[in-house]
Amino acid sequence: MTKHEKILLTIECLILLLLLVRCFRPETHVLSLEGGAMTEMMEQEDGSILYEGESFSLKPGVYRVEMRSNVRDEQKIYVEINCERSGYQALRGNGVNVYPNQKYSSFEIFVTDKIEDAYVTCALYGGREELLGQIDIYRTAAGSRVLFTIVLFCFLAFDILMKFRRRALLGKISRKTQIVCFSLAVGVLLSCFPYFTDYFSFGADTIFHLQRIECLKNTLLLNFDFPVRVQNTWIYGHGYMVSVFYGDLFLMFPALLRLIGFPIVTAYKIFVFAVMALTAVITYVSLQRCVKNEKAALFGALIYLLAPYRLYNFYNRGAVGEYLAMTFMPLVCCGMYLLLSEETDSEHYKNYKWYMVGGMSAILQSHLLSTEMTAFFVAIVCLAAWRRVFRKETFIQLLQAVGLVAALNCWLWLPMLCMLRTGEFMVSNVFESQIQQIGIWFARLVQWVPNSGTTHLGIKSADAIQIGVAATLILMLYGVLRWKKEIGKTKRELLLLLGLTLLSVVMSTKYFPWDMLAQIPGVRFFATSLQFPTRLMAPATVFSSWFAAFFILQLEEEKREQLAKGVFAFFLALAVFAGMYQVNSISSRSVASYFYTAENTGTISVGNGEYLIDGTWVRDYFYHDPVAEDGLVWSDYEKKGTDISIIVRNTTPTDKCLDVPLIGYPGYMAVGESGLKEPYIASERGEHEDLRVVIPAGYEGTISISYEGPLIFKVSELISAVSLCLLFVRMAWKGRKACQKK
Amino acid sequence: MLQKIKGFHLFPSDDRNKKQVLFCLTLITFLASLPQLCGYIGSGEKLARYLQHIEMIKEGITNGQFYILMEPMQGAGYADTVFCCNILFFVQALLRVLGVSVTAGYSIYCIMLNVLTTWIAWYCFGKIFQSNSVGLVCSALYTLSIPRIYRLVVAGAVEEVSALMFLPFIVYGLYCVLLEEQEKKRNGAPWVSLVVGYTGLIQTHLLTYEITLCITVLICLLCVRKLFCRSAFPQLLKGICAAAGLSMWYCIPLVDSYLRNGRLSHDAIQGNGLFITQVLYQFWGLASKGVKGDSGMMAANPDGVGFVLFFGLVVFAAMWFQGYFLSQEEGCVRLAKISCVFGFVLLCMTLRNFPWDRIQRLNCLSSVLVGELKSPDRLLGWALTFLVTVFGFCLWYFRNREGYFYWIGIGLAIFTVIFGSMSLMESLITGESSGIVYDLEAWRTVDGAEASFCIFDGPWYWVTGEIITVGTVLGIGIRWWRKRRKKA
Repeated sequence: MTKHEKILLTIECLILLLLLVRCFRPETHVLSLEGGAMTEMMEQEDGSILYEGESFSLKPGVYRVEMRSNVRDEQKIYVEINCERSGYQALRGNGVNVYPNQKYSSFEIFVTDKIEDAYVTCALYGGREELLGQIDIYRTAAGSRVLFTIVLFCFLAFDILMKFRRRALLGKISRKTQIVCFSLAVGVLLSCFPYFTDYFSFGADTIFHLQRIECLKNTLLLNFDFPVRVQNTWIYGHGYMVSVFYGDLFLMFPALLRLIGFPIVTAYKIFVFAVMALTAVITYVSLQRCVKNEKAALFGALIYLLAPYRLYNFYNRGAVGEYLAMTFMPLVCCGMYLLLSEETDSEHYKNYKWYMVGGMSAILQSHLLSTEMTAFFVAIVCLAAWRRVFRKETFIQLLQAVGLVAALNCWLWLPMLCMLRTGEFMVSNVFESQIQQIGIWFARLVQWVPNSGTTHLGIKSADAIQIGVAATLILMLYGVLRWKKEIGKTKRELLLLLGLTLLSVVMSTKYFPWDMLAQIPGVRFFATSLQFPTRLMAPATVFSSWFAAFFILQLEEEKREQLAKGVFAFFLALAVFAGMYQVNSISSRSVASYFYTAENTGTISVGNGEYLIDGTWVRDYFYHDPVAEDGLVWSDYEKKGTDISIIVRNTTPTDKCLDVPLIGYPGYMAVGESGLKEPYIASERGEHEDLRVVIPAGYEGTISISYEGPLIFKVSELISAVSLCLLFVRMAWKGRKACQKK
Repeated sequence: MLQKIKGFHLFPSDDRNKKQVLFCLTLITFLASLPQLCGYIGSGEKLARYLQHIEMIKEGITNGQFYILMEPMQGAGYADTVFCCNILFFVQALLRVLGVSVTAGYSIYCIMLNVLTTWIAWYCFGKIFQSNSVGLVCSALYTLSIPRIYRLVVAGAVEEVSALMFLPFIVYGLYCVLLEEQEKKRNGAPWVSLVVGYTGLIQTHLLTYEITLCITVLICLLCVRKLFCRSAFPQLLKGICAAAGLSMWYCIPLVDSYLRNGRLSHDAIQGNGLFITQVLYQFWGLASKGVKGDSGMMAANPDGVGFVLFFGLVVFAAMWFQGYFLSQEEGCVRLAKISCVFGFVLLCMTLRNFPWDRIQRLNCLSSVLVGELKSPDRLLGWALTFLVTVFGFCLWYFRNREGYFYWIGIGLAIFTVIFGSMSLMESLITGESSGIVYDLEAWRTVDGAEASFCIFDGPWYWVTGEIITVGTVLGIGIRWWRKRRKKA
């Protein structure tokens, strides 16, 4: 480290230290407003009555607004913080609904510039000021934490850039590598283009995933659960078992940003940027390992990064699970290629399975349906290359990979399977019976200019569900060159990739006989669980971009330098043009939402409600207190997420039931006071499948209810933990051995 | 004769080159003038005021008053010419005196602007980079740029477009005076470019001149060592003094009126800034014409430099960062570095994320300076000029070293012209709100129906009333006009 670098580092550390101290300052109470102190302003068109509080000033920072209210059935309050005169978007926050029986609510607002005249407004539905309780506003330390994080990342980025520059100037980073880094950075920035605004545009599923992030954050904060199984604030506080069926591991990152204090939309945008960057790096590195040619790897990586279907998943659908899974599919391709193509006695042969393990684990943690598709195509590849698969070492490595994936991810798939087997959940019954009609027309594949689109079906205003004009034309060019014998004999991997691309593309169309396959027992589950065949565009995109890379490689190996250069330049320009067009189209056709306050979305954006108990619907739920049978008296009721503490007294000679406002998922535990007959969770559930606790006759004391999970959950977590520990021990031991050898 | 002016060659001396250059310049002008060749004019926020201004100058000329300081609007008088000079308006006013219709006169004026902008940009950038091809590419990128098309065709901000014409002169002049290597000094007087540039700016759009002045000061500070050497400072001084002298006829009445009656704006401007997406947006033909509103990109104006120009900036910045120019001290390199930094900073300043409101609250002076800017996108003119300079430098650099990248750059320039600018122009030409205006009293649209833009609902139309004595009630004039109309 040079002297200048040391000085710079010292200054950076000092600044960070100063900012870190501010992160721990306590909350300060800014304002207390009694409901009675608010002035009735006017009756609005929708029948609500608007009340307004006195004005107050706010300094820049993050504020928490708490409201205590007396809202009963058929009543509602809409609370909002407004300001009259302020700088541009100085106050960033949205209003929040307070629902019937919701005694306490809290939400955040973000102030970026000093505001002199902020005020609270409450729109009351079905009542007057008696609904209002008290409003308290607190200034939190979240603003300081956000500032610290931003400054930390800026310093890190600056230091990395300076280090990179120094190494480049010293010649330690080749010019080709510099161009690769630059190109990938531009590709990432281009693919994040629609989010370079100060507003947000929702995709079809975005709100569901934003709520997952928010509830994950609340569960980590309130209940300290890890791994999270039931996310607490969903569905009017009843909880939702989404984490069992939908891996949350990668959502920990945006949840952590929320914990730090970033607004939900900012956290999501940062998450999207991180996923794009990770995709670029993973795809390039995976391709580079296989083709061993920087130009070809860069070509394939950029075509994949700017693929229309990928961008469609990000912006049109907001399909977080699917685009996360697409990030890791190249790893699986890399692992399979290296295991099948390299010689088994090569030095690093036993390390190649880790690409498979890492890729498949990440895909499993991201999206279950993508895992199905990946496993399906891995099976096809194994069938196609069966001679190689059945080499002793290869077979052992593949088995080890499967075993490692199973062991390391046991904590996710075993509980999921157990819950699915119960048949109690709606997800068991939501499989579409006829998915063939939802496939795409062939004409969509040759839609050269990928518009943002507004519809999944048909051609007019169609979404960009395709592998991309560049990838399509490369396939056609290859066909023409091969037919005219302009290029030599095709390598096996190129043929295989071509076959897989064509197969997955055809399977995504409405011409593939999905409905017929659905009639075959055993195949039906896989044929219908996909929900729509267009999901197969994900593997099609991966295969086509890999085909493009290997095509360039073949041209270079045949010494067709000019043709390789021409193909590289032309098709890359085409891919960038199409990508630029698509992101421009998405930007100009997306509705702008100035959305900052996560609580504004409510708690019931569950989509189809796949993880509810079968027979219920989200509209059945509402905020309510525990419901006790006659003879049962309760008091001191406290609910913190999915943890409940309540004092009950059963004065009758028989056992009585108490229904608590939690969905009756398997795994809840009720713990009473020691020395008394224990209360327990009933096997039957209460109204709209609420959790039912049986209070023994004569019981008097505190009961604590919390989600612990069935025993099988604990076993699966233990298996995964032990596997991970053994893995770390083995890596440490191998590392030590390698050091000793050196 | 013009070709023989010392140091100034209008066209290359070689015949073949001359034909190629002429052809390209004509093509660029033709493409830029397509909206003016449709037989009608589109509506624009500022078009009405501009056309009225021309009418007043025309009336003044026909009444024997060649240069009017006070427009006789409604008998009350309106001192538009004092505060908003545009000497080039006289061209159109003279055409009106000769009987040319409002539409035709406006179109001829716009075509004239396009011709001059194309030629000036080619000349200046070609001289800087010593290459006709680079000059032509820069000219195409500059003349057919999205901000320029937006201002000319959508907003009707003719003064700003007139001012844009002179910016390359400033770049060329400052380059010759401050940055060019001593041994490469050309024949001729580089300060003449500065005179033409500054004079043109003062007498077309004062706000652009103020911005230019700030930029000049900053560049001088950056090149302070060079500034005080024997040749640079006198050249610069000559340029500034000559420009001041030539503009005295306008500046003195302006300053006098401001000191007596001036009302300076303190309006907040941050909300008028652009989105990052808007600045880098390339395919404006996709988007609607847009009016400023709070609906994000759906309602955004086509007012950004585009991704390709920004990409040129990024490429240069990456090369600079990786040390490609460590051992190079050519004037072009220094110009490109300055243009890169200034271009990037100015682009950031056009965004709504830039803390204009906070800067405005610092003190009274900053409040006035920011308020007078009216909208951050006023800085886009200079941002565009700097970005085109950087792009031109990249072409020049690769042309001499790596032909492959040079041709990629040419391809990108053609791409941005065709798919960015031309697609925007096509969508604007085929869009709504167009009209043929013969004179103020009678007007109709192409198809005979009432025009959708009612700028001539009455003969007088004030924009924001900024050029009016403090304390005047704006409504008086309108009430007077309504009375008059009723009587008729």
